[in-house]
Amino acid sequence: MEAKRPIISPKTLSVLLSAAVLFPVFVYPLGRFIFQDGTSAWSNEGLWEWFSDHGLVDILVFTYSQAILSTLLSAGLGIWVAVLITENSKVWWARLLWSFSQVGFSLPAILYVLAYLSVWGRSGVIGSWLLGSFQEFNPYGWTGILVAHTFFNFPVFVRIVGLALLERNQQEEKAALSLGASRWIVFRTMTLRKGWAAIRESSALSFLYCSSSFLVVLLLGGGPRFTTIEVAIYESIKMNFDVGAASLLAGCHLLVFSLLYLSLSPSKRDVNRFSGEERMKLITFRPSIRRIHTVLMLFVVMMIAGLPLLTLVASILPHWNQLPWALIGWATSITVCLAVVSGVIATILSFCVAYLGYTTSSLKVRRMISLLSSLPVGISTILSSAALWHAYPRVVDHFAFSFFAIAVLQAIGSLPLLNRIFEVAFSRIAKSWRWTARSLGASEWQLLLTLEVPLMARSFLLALVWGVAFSLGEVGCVLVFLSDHMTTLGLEVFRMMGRYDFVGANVIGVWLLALMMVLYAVFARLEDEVQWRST
Amino acid sequence: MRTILFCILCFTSLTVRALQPPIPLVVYAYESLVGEGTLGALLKSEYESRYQSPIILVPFGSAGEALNRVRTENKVNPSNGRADVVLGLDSTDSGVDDESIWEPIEDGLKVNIPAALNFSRYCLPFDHSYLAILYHHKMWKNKPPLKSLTELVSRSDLKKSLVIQDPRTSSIGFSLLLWARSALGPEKSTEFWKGLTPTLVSVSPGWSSGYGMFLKNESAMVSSYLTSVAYHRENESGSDIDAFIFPEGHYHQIECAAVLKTSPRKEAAMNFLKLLVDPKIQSQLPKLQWMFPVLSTVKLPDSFKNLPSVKPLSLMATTAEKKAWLNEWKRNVR
Repeated sequence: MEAKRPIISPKTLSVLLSAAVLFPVFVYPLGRFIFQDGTSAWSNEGLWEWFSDHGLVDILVFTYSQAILSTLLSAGLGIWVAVLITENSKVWWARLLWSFSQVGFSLPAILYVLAYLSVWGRSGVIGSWLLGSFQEFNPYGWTGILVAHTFFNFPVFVRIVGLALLERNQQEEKAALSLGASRWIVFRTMTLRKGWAAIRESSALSFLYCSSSFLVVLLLGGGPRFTTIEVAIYESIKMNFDVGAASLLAGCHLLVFSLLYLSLSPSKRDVNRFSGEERMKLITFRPSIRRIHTVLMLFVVMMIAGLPLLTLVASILPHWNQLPWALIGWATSITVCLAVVSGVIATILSFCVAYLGYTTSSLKVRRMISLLSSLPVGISTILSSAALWHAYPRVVDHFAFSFFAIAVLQAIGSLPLLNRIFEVAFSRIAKSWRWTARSLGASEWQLLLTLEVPLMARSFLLALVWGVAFSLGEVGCVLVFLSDHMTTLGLEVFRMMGRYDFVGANVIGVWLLALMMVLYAVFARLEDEVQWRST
Repeated sequence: MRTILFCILCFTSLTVRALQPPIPLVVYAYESLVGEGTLGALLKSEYESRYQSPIILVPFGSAGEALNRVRTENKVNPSNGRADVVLGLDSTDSGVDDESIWEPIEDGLKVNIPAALNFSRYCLPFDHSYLAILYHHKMWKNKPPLKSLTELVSRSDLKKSLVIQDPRTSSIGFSLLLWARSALGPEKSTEFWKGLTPTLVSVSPGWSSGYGMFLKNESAMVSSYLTSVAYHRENESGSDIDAFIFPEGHYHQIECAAVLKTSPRKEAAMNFLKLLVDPKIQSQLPKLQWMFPVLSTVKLPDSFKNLPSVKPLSLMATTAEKKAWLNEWKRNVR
């Protein structure tokens, strides 16, 4: 008897779900904003003005050069940490770093910048000493921008590359070593190649977020010399009220961004295979060299992430009991609910988008899907936020509408990040398994539910946690649809600063860090359980 | 039967109408005016209890953003506006005098407000302050005090000592630009900006981030409000933050609220404005906004009383001037 055909295939469902979210939240508002509201400004005058008077070329060169350099630095540190963590996966510091290296991820950028200045600034713990010793030391400008971007982006490499290295097939490496190949040759030609897809995916992501950076660049850059394309778009929309120029600037950005982004996306050669075998240590460094590497790596991570975060914690200790706990409690409950809803939506949505790419045989189409999923962030968050508000102005009238609108918006904001997690996870599933299952008569649904989803359990967990983490300290999306009674912890940081209460803002920052620690601790437990079940 | 049905229909529609909640007054405001413990929250509770009618406060990143939103809404739907009031506009917003957007303010509302604060027919002032260069006493121990804006450029001992705000992204940043222009004139202000770069530590995107850096001792000076000193006096014992006073004058920033021409609830909107200049609200305003109230009859907190008096400077920019001056600023500050 022939099996009953399902009403809808998983691929069609993925298309429908993705379209149902992306069209009303991204395509329609942006199209309406640019082609209806901005029509009067389509004379190109605004853009030419930017070219001639404001040095658009300089702005573009600065935007992408800082994004490329930040990505390279984040990749350097992130891969280094990932390799050493996977080499020492049972050691306490490696477990600690693996679990908690992303806690700073949800910290509002302003708090990290102020914490960074507490250490490296002109009056900072180390900065003042450096300034006394080396007159030329400057924590601002390129140094500040690159360090802050590295802080926010290296965890992306740690997790995505680390997961790829942990779950790779190590038989070939063992064979090569037993045949006399040197550790370095094995690492360079085999280990690194197997993580190459993950490295390129993480690089594309880091590049995406760094090229749309706004606050970090302005605050640590210090002057119009350090203007990114986002600042130019901001100026066009918010100051000059010139939607046409802003759209054309965003168009320029999109063009350059797409070319650079596609060159970073994984190509056909980036083969990676999944293996369910027992986990072993990476075979890279000799024990003595490994020790030196470990100390050095821990020192760098401490300088960039650990010390600034510790100074932030230390700054609030005397004030812990003077806080408006009722307000913090209310803000925490909304923030956590928002983060959970946003995380769930983001996980489902990004899985659908990644599944579409996975089930498409053409590499070009797959890369295009990957690029399209990055557009909500890549095209300019300022432009898309303005478009959204114009399309749905009445959302803010009701708390519930405002809540869900923010959750969906945050989910779309984290889509590029989560999509990469699933893309890497899908790339680790051997195509031969799929073909075998298909030839044995398995349906698409059976394949998905009994083979693919169980193999990606850790990626699902990671995606959910990152979706939640992305939302926890996020403020940009909250401001788009902020209603009267709505407040979040990230927003309270800015509100408190606006009322001169910088200590209160730091306390909320530390509270956010504590929430992240709890989140990642729970995640680590669940991850261990999933790992135990899979073995 | 038809008559009964007709009566039931009439009764139902009348009951539904009577039970319908009153249409809320929609107030656009910048973000720091909304939320617990803010002026917005105080106004909301007072208005709702006094007029038995709800208010929706819609927060924006800045008052400029709210103004842009209003302009777009007017363009798309000129006959039926969504907002009734914009709260928190200031003298740096170039659209404040646009008669096509705003309803003129009733003269009766401005009776008790000093004439010097009434800079627009369409906007009702509710608080004000002066721009000032604030400094840390402890970081200024052996240096002679700053006597004028131009000393920021001419003195060689001030390298890397000032944080200002970016005029492209913040209202106070643009106020500083207007201050330099009104105090020094167009030509000298160009020279001022060209020479200021070595004095700067950072050009922050907004007031909060710049002030945060100043409080972390990253800079000896910051551009802020004269009334910021009052906050530190009120909340910190032995505060070491003070302001330099310049004889050429200080830019006078006045915050105001305006009623939209497209508002379908103009009377309610004017009632809201009336509340803004009510002595009860005005007396609470200094400690909520850390600005001066507009009513001179209001008793100021002690922390405000000893603030030095300064020569006020005012200058407003049209949209075209704003764009041109910003472009000039970008060329001069490198």
